[in-house]
Parts: sequence; structure tokens; C-alpha cells
Amino acid sequence: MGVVAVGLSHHTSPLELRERLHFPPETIPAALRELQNRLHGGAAVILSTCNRVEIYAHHEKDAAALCEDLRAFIASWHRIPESEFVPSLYEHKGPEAVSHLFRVTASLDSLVVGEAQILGQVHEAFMLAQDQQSVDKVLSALFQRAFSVAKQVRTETRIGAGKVSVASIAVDLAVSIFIDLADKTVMIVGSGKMGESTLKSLLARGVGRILLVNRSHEKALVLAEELGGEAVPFEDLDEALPRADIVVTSTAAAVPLLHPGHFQRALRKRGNAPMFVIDIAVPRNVDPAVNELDNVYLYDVDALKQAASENLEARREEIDQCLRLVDEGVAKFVQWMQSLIAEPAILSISEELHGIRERELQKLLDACPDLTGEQREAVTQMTRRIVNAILQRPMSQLKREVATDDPSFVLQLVRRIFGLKES
Amino acid sequence: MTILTLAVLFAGALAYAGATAASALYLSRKREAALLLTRRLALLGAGLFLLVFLLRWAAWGCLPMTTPADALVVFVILATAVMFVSARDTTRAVASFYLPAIFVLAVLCACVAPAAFGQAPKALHGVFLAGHVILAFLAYAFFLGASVTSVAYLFQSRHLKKHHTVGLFQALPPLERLDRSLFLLIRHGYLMFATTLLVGAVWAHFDRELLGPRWYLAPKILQAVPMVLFYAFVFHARQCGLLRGRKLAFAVLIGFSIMLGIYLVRALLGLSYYHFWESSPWAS
Repeated sequence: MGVVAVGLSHHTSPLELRERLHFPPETIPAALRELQNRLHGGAAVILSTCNRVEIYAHHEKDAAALCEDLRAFIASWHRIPESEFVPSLYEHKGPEAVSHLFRVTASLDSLVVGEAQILGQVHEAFMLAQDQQSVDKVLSALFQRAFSVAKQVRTETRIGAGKVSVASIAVDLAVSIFIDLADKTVMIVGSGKMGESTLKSLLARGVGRILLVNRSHEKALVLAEELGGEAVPFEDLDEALPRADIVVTSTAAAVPLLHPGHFQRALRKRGNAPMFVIDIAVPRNVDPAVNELDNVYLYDVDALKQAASENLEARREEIDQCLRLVDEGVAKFVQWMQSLIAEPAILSISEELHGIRERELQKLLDACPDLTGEQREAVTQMTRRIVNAILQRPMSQLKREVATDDPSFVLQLVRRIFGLKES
Repeated sequence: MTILTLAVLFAGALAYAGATAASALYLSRKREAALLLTRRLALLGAGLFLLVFLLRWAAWGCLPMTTPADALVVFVILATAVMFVSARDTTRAVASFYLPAIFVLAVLCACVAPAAFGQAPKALHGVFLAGHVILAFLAYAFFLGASVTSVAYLFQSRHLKKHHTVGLFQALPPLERLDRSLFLLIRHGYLMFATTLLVGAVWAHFDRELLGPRWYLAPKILQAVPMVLFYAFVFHARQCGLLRGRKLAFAVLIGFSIMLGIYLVRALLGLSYYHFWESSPWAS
């Protein structure tokens, strides 16, 4: 099989080397053209992200020679001697290349396993190559299959479940407490960067109202205007607390600002409706004893990091199941690739039979000069359908046979039966 | 007919066993396919139990609800119906908490059925009484649902408190949804049970022949009154926000367990029944 994958990733190389070999998106069309010139045809896709630089290629030539060409291309394009990157380079040929692409696209090879970004990046790389007409039937089918396996992996396993960044975990936790964030109020105490980023994530999930509390009321007013919230004077924090369903604290205070008493009072006023408290300040702004209260769920930085690592661990536990799906996808693709061996024979048989059909049809049409144009067309279509129907079953079977049996023996036999010339 | 009915009943119990196994698989592996299988097998089980109910009805010509086996058949069907109504869409994962409880009831039913199905169920006196009994069963089914939802709530709440938010936690609905579901189940169960008791009291008051003048001293009534008072308290406490979240879930779970325990003790001591279909032992 002439499909290869040559590249390096965060598993095999340091960031510095990946930066040097990176293909910025605007240079990829030129790089693809250059690559096609070098290969004298063939097909290629360049995938270049912050964690990997890879070239997927398909060519009639031998896989080892193709890998050699790709190495030379990388060296000349980036003007870096091969010796500098070859130790970090991996080369996958045939089914291993297919399996590698499927694992990459399904985010099983990512730095953060299960992240969704890579699927979009592979898709973009493929679209770019398609625009440059540097993909052929095989690479096109390979990438389409990779996308479908990636989707299957995401829907049939929990590889993408649970977020791994602090802000997105906070949002996920909020969603696991409240039905709908649209009717919920979030209170931000302080103006730390992490707090702001968490607030933005919550806003992106459609949180309803924002209360901004800051020691500098002017700062709170500015932020409130910017985000469309309500500024609350710091002294009124206790009074405003019962209105908040979600509290995010990120002040630089050296001692906790909020204690169990604050929340007990707030809960009484709220009819014990649950409160979610995210304390991303170091040192902490909320007394840890608050988590002992019923209906208050407190998460500090350590708790959020613990959730992140648990999510990552849970994703890793799904990998075996994902790899089974990948293997199934690889087997199907390899079978399809094998069936392509039969294509020239199928084409010859089809041409042979349609040739006979056309000759016989011509005789018939010559013998019946009175037929109208419509009638001639109808007869032509009918003969075409008959021949296609006769061909359909044996040709499908032939594809299956060459994919599972000794292809050269099967093809030889078929050529002998139909009296085809050796290609 | 009896053999056929028993065969259908056992098949139903087997379907519930399968549903429970699939729900256990879902709880351990979190595969959506397992949950789908759980629901399908539970539906099959409920369908077969319904068929048992119809076969018994057809065979004896009266609503079969008065023997322990018949009562369990009705209860299993209603509990499954409550499961399908309350554990749907975003709360569908809660179904896997219902199944073990329903399975135990189905097995219990299959154990007592061979002895009970040879006899005719005693006919209830009129449609009014049949409605009263069905309403009581439905209220019990809602109380069972509330207890199961409480378990799910406590599970979610504990995991959130302990900052352990992977696995089954991710598959279960938000706490607020469970809290709302719990409240609705308590409300429906309480209203139905209160109605059942009121209707029963009115009927017993006017038809003294059937249960006798001291019907209110029957053990079942003596249990039902604290039960309705307990659910009245729980319902109103939740309504005004006094009891909510973990405390409410614990209260519902403990209350239901105590009442189930008393019911079993009463059944074992033979202090179970006033009889709608014959003279009451409390008549004199």
C-alpha cells in the first residue's frame, strides 16, 4: 500500500524543533505544490499544529522511497539538515499510517487525550489539500474514513467527557448542579484574570445575570458596563450573596473573605436553594469549612485541578475501547484499499461487455431503421442496464475476493475467464 | 391457564433480571447502549406483567389485586410506569437506580405467585373500591420513585462535595433536576395517598357493614396515618424551602425504609389486613 505518514509530534520532539518544522497555514498551498513537483504526482496532506507536523502521502512508488522523498522535502523546505530532525521523525507505512491518522484524528494521540480541536485541525488540513488538488481518491477516502472513525469514537465512548481546563471545569460543574444557567445569577468577587476567564466561560454558556463585587467600586462599575452586569459595593457583599447561585472569588485578600456564617444566612434567605462557589484565589478567599454546609458546593483551585486530572484519567481509561474502534476502521479501509487492486480488471471486463453490447445494439438499430429517436434511446438504456446488472454481483464479489484471498491468483483467473490482456 | 400465567410472569421477572443486569452494566461502564437495553427490557417486563394481570382478570372475572402476588404484579407495573415517566430525557440515567428495587419486587412476586395463582382473587366491592386500591398502589409507586431519586441525589451530592466528578456522576442529571424530580414525586405521591385515605375513610364511614365500626383501628390504617403525616410534613417543608437537598433526600429515604420495614413486620406477624371482601376482624 502506497500510503505513508511522516512527521513528528509532542511525543517524539521538543517544542523548539516543532517550531522550526512548523508549516504556517499560509505557506501550506505552496508547500503542497512543491511537494507534488518533487514527487511527480501523487497526493499529499500537510497537518501542522502546535503539537505535531505530519505529511500524509499516497503514491504509486514504494513506501520506503516515498518516505525518503518526504524527508528530503522537509529538509529542503525548512532548510534544516536531515540529521537534525530525523532522530525525532516517525515514519508509518501502509496500515500503520492509516492507524496513525485515525488515532490522531480521534484525539487518541493528543497531548490532552480526547480534546476536540484536533478533529477540526485535520479537517482544515484536508480541505486545504483538497483546494490545492493534492488529494487523490485514496487520500480522500482515507481522510473521510478518519473523520467517520473519530465521530464514532466520540459518540460511542466517553473519551471527550469531562473538561480539563479550570474555566471549562467550573462551567461543567455549574451545569451538573443547575438545570439551566439562563435563569441563574453569577457573582464575581474580585477582578483576577482567572476569575474573568471563568466568568467569560459562564457567559458563553448563557448565564443569566452578573453581579460584580470589587474593593474598588469604580473598577466594578467599568467591568459591569463592559459585561452588562450589576456592580455591587464591597460593603454590600453579605446582602447581595443570597441573590447569587454561582459565586466566583478571585481577590488578592490574604485571609478568607467569606465564611460559613455568610452562606448560612444566604441559604436561609434563598430557601436552601443550592449555591456553587468557585474560589480561584490563592490564598483562598472562602473558608474551606463552607463546603461542610448542605447545599453549598465549594471548589478551590486544588479541587478544580483534581477534577481536571480525574477527567483526564477517565479519558485514558476509555482508550482501549477507542483503539478497538480505530482497529475496526483500519481493517475496513485496508480491505477497501485491497479491493482497488481489482479495479483495472473490473474496468477491462466492463469495457469488454459494453463493447459487445454496443456492437449488438448497433446491429439491431441498423436492422430497425423505423425506430424513433426516443425508442432508440430507450433500447440503448435498457441494454446498458442489463449489462450493468449482470456485472454488479460478480464485480462486488471480485472486490471481496481480492481483499481477502491471494489477489494475483484471483485476478489471473478472472483475466483467463474473460480473455483479458495482462496489464 | 394458571401455568400459562405463571410462565408469562416468570418471563417478565426474567426480563426485569436482564434489565437490572443491563442497568448494573450501565452503572459500571456508563455505556448508553446498556441504558437503552435496560429501558427496553424493563418495558418488556412491564408488558409481560400487564399480560399476567389481564390473564388473571380474564380467568377469574374480577380485578386481580387482593392476593399478595396480584398486588405485587400491579405494583411492579405501576412502579415501572413511574420510572418511565420520571426518568426520561435528561433524567433517563436514573432508571438504572429504579431497576434493582423493581427487580426485587418482581422476584418476590414470582416466589409467591405459584401458591397464589391457583386461587381466585377476591372481588373488590365495586369500581369505587377498585379505584381506591389502584390509587393507593400508584401513591406507593411514587413513594418508591421518590426514594430511588433520593439515592441518585445523595450519590450526586456526595460526589460533588468530595470533588469526585467522573464516572457515573457525569451521566446523571444535574442536582437541581433531581431535586425537582424528587419534589414532584413526593407531591404526586402525597396528594394521591391523601386522596386515597380520604376516599377510603368516607367509604368506610358510610359502609360500616364491610369493615365494621372500628375500621380506623386496623393496623393498615394505623400505619397509613403516620405515613401520610410524614409525607405531608416532607412536602410542605420542601415547598417552603425548610427542607431541601441532602436533608430532604435522607428524610425521604429513611421515612420510606421505616415504613417498608413496618409493612414487612406487619406482614410477618399476620397483622396485615382488613378485608374488603369479607367480614373484618376489627368488626366487633
